[in-house]
Amino acid sequence: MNSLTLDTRALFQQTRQNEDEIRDTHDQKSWYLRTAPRGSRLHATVNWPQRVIGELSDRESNPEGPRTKVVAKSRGRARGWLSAFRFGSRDAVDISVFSKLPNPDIEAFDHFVVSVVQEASKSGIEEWNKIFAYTDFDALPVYISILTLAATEDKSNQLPARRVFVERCRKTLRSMGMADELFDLVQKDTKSAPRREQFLKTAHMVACLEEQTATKGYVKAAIAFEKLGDIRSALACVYRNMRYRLRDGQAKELDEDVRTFDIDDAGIDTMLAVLTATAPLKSSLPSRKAFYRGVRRTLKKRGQLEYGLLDGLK
Amino acid sequence: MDRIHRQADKSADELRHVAVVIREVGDPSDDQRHLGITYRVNESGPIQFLHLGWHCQLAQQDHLSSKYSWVDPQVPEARLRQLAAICEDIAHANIVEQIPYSFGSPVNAFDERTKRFLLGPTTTGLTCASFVLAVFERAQLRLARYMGWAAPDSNDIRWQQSVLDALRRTPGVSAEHINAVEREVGNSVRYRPEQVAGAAAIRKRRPVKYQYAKSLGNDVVRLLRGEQPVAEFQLSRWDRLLDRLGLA
Repeated sequence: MNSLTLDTRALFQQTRQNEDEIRDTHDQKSWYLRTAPRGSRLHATVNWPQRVIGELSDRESNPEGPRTKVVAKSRGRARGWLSAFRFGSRDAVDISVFSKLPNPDIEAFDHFVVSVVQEASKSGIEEWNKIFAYTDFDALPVYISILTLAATEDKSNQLPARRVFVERCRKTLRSMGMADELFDLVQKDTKSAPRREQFLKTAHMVACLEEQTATKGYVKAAIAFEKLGDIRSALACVYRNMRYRLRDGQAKELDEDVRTFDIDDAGIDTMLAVLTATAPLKSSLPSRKAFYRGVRRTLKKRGQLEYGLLDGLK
Repeated sequence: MDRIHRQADKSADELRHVAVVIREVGDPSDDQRHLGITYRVNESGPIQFLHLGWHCQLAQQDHLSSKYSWVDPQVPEARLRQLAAICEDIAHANIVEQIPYSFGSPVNAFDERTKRFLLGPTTTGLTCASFVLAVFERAQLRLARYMGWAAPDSNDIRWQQSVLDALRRTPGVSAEHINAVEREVGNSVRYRPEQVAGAAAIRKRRPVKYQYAKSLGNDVVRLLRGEQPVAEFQLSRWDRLLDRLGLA
């Protein structure tokens, strides 16, 4: 169905009809339709109208203006998501918590998760269930979904909709070609770090691949990907983020990335990726010479320096 | 030549992250081959076939015809993984905007910042073979020594003219591009697919000089036709000495 061909009235009629059909089934959303009075329901019962309603209301409020508020625009996606749902009938969440997300790092994530938890606690556990059941997470960056899991970790037993959501996150990561281990990291490492911290780390690693700007700490994320055995993501992480650095004229920051690279912790693939990505710019990266020497020395020490390995990378 | 395999003898699925693939096009008397790259970053992942088919037809496919033979490049495995990741990046950046077909240089063909093909006064477009050279170049693995590459002979000029005629018949090709290709006919060197495939198969004295690329290319063509190479490939005495001394 092409949803955009429906007018607002027809859309709501269609939505009501869908509600009636779903209510008496065992669909994962039927519990909400059975318990919530019609007047207090969210403005959507299935995911697709939620997006259409947002777009239609944008058009109604600004019929001549450019239609740039759709969730697909990368820099505005996270903010768009937060303003798209409301915690009950109260005020919308303060969207300033998203201000750092276009250039995220773990501290920004931590701040975001704490802020969202504080807001959600005012409305109660029911709101989290609504969010899990009705927010169109497919239209969001995956790392936002993982952050949502981090925010709800301590309430996991009270949120039936969350269990399904965890599986959806896992499937999404798999469809992106990322190693399953990335998600299992959260389950395996619970002894050494709280699950919430692990979710933050996972979200950061995914953000390093998803964001369209260089993400703080991307080199560490690449090293972590390599340790998990996901070489494809490790290399993509280095090449993409270094490309964004160059695109945005951040040669100084790029040199800092090279200077602070932890050679002893890194594997051969991440090291070679940094050398390959920076080779055409060696004259403008003063730290690269020492980095090359360090890589050579480390590979020799590890017995990995085979003939021709560093050809063209000096 | 032990690094060149026909798929009937050894499946392309056994590649080490990257292989240069080549096949005969049309009748053997046409003396025409097509070249591309097959790659996968993760050993267990599916293989991807990346090639410049024609004007603005850069394609990434998840299957490879059995008619292709493949060359296992003589490059350390860790470097091949980098090359595979770069293939993925280049495919990602260029599938939409596409690469024109012309006889431009493979050097600096891709923008460092965006990985997009750089269209400009010196890079008008690529052929299937120069596209492969450009991708290797981007991974700092130069296959061919461009200086001293032979000027186009009468066969090459005839081929370049036939490409120009075909571009004229292709709908949607701009007049500017036709003019640019016209200027290149007879003036641009030709990197033949079999020569590039041959250059990928050896490690010694790479980037490979034209004389070696030509000799290796002839061997590749014989192998594609099911014939045996005339003699085992050998470097000149001088190059063997330089190689032993580790000098360029």
